[in-house]
Amino acid sequence: MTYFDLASPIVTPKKLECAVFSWASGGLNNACPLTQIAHNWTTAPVLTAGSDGLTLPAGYYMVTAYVYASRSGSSNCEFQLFVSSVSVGVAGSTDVYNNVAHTDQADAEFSVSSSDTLELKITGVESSIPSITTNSRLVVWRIAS
Amino acid sequence: MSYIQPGLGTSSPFAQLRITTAAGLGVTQWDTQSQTWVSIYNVADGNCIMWGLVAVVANSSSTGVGSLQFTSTSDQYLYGQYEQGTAASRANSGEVMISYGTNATYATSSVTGSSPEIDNSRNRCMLMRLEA
Repeated sequence: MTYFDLASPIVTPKKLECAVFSWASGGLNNACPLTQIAHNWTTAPVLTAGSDGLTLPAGYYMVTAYVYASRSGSSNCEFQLFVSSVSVGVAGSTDVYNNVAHTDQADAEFSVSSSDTLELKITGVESSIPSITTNSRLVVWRIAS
Repeated sequence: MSYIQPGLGTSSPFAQLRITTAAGLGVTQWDTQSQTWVSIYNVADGNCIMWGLVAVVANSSSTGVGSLQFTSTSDQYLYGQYEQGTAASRANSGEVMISYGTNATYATSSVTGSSPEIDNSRNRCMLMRLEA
């Protein structure tokens, strides 16, 4: 998929890029560790030291975090995306109804003018943090600005 | 797939619709948009892939349902559900709704039990603009 900027005197194709990571619990209010699964970014995604943050080059971003958790009782948590330590978008949570687990995602849309760091943090716990499995995903869509 | 996308060099092709005011039952509207090419009146300048979540807040032992509707596919609804009897008033969403088009209408309805209490902090519609 390619975008073109007609406002520019030179028509420059812009590529819709996507990167997919799995994430694990980092504990309450800590950045969650990320593991890269796949990407089509022109320049490969760079994780921060400790692999608990993603370096974001300048661009437009849409990010979604999906959770897959093994849980029981009221073992639930809420999670949110952060850019340079500032919360962005809408929180997600583990979710249960009549003991049938559902998933709820965190979503955010934002721009990066130079360089920032994206983090995913568990921001709330009900009873205890459930077991976050390796099926949990962080999907980062971007277009260079 | 390649195509010409006027204006996207100076604005994001990604957008988010939110609602921050208390919502009663019936069709209402978003009140916050993150990009100027999409309006709170549910019309985007160009077709988009859209996905949305509606969330409602647990309230004692009552049950209720909130809904999110994409008008381009009016027969499809997204339901949020009350979670009953939890210590914390939690918000749930049953499923994600995905559609393609230019309209995403936020609506609430009481399908089961008492009126749903919409969780305005978490309802959202995400849009990825694909063509003008």
